[in-house]
Amino acid sequence: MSSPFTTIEAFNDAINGPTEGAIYTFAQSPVINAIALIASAGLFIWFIVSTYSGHDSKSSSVDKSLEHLSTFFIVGFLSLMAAEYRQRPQATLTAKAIDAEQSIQYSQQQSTQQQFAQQRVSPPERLSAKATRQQSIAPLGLLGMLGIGANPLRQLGKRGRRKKRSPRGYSRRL
Amino acid sequence: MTPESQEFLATFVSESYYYWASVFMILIHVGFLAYEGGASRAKNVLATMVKNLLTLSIVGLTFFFFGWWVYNAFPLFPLQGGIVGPWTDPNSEGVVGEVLGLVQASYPWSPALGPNVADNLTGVFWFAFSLFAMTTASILSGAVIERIKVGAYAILAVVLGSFTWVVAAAWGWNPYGWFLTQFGYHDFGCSAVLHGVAGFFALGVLINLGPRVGKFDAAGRPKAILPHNLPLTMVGLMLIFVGFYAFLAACVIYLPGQTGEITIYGTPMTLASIGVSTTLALCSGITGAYISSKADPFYTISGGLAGIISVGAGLDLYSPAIVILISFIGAYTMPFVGSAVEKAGIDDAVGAFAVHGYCGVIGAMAVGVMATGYPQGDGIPLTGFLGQLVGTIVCTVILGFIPGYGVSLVLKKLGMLRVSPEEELSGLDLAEFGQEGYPEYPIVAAQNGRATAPVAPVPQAGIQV
Repeated sequence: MSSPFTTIEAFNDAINGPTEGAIYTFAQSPVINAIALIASAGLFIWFIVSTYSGHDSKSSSVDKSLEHLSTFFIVGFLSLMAAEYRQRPQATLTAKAIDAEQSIQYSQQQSTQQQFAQQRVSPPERLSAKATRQQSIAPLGLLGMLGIGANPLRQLGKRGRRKKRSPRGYSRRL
Repeated sequence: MTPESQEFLATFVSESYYYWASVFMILIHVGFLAYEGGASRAKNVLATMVKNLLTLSIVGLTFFFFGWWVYNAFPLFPLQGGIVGPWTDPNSEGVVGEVLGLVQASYPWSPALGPNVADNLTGVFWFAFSLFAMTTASILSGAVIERIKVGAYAILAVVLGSFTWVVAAAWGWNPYGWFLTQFGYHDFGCSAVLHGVAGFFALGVLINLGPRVGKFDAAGRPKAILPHNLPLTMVGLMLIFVGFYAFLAACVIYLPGQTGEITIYGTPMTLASIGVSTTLALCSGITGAYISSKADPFYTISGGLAGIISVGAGLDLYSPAIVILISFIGAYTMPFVGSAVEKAGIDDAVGAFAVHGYCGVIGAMAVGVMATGYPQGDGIPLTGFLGQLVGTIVCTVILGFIPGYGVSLVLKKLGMLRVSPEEELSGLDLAEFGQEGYPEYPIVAAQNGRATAPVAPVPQAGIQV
């Protein structure tokens, strides 16, 4: 059943129920909606890719810029995966640091040096927040760099190949 | 603020809400006029647009004469009771008594429909429903362009707009309707109740009407008859989209004294979610049709409508991500249905069956798959596949295809359905109005499907230096 409710009373009183007002399908099992969301994003990527495909029946060739787009998607995906991988160890370290600081804070509160303890706690928290921000910015920065850099690199590669081919006389044959 | 003024304010909010939603629904008809006018050939543009204009008059008046009564009188028939009307015992109690009160307010001679300070709401609901009815008939008008007689279209529009779809609404879009009370049917945005009925009705008519001259070659292969103004068609569909937001907003029930918005089935909902879901369905539908039709402009923009209709029935229940998936699937598959209809030798000029009929079925049945188990009242079955299937079959086959096929067959036998081949070749604008839609512009005869090119008079007065 995709309904989060079994009785009309529960449906009408959804605001006080376990879904806290949500009455939409699968509100009681968010994982299904999460999967649907990922599938929706996949359909959108399919749409973007299809805008580069040849629609004219006379030319069935695929637009060359599709290669850039594919590269963008793949690198972006890998970047996000990498960010996720790096965030997990960092989160563990941050949690450990917070635990340690809390124990220090507790002991210092016990020794009536509360103000001093707060000063000691603050810097590591600021550092961990800064690190988290850097982590979230990293994949975006990587995507931007690749977006800017991919095309010149590709053109450079083409030039390089052209230089190698020219002595063989390919251009003269054409 | 006195209690009386607070009470009036609640009434006025409800009255104003439906009034303005209905006004914006007129944009659907502006859109249909532009859409179908653009989709026709230049020699038929006036006839097509005038036919759309006449739809408002034909359905508006007949809905007043008997359509509104049909909606209120038929919900119990045939499973829970008879048709309620002047013959019903005025002292009836229970459900019949409740329905009788609504029926008495729906007669064309009812004091509730005139200026009446004791009833601000019956009239505004009539206004909204009459525009629903006009929309239904307009779906048929696009499918039959360029060869149907105006009189035949008028008869078919009355049958569809003021009777068959209204019966479907009485059964499936009414708190007393037996689709709901007996089967737990749920169709918030009228996917099958309106679009399914109209799409299948159009299919029945098209079988008897036959294709336009030149649509199929000698071997039966379909040939493209291109719209004379595709940009106008696209603008028309954009206007239909705007009107659809109002249409779906008018499906929300808010009456004085309520503590929240509800559907016609009495279940809770929010207007905000209609805004989100309609927008997502529109966007997703366009992308789906774009991909599957390989960027065909006509199908791509129809995909927006296909997407909305595909989720219409459960628009109040689906999560946003589910809306995107269902509308994408409906719109993605819609062009294939349009092509299949064409290959079957049926000339559906605007893809009305694919967009409304097929996607109407998808929309209603999607509730039976993706929104099952919702309660809609004590003693009423939960939403489910079987309930949706029963409602969808009754709407599309019994109230859609059979009446459309039957009435058009009778008209065909009487020679009242289709214009003569000569009139069709010369164009309906000349045949019906004696003038062209674009008299200043010479039109290449071969491109316009015309046998001989008319000699347009040159305005001599304009050559003055």
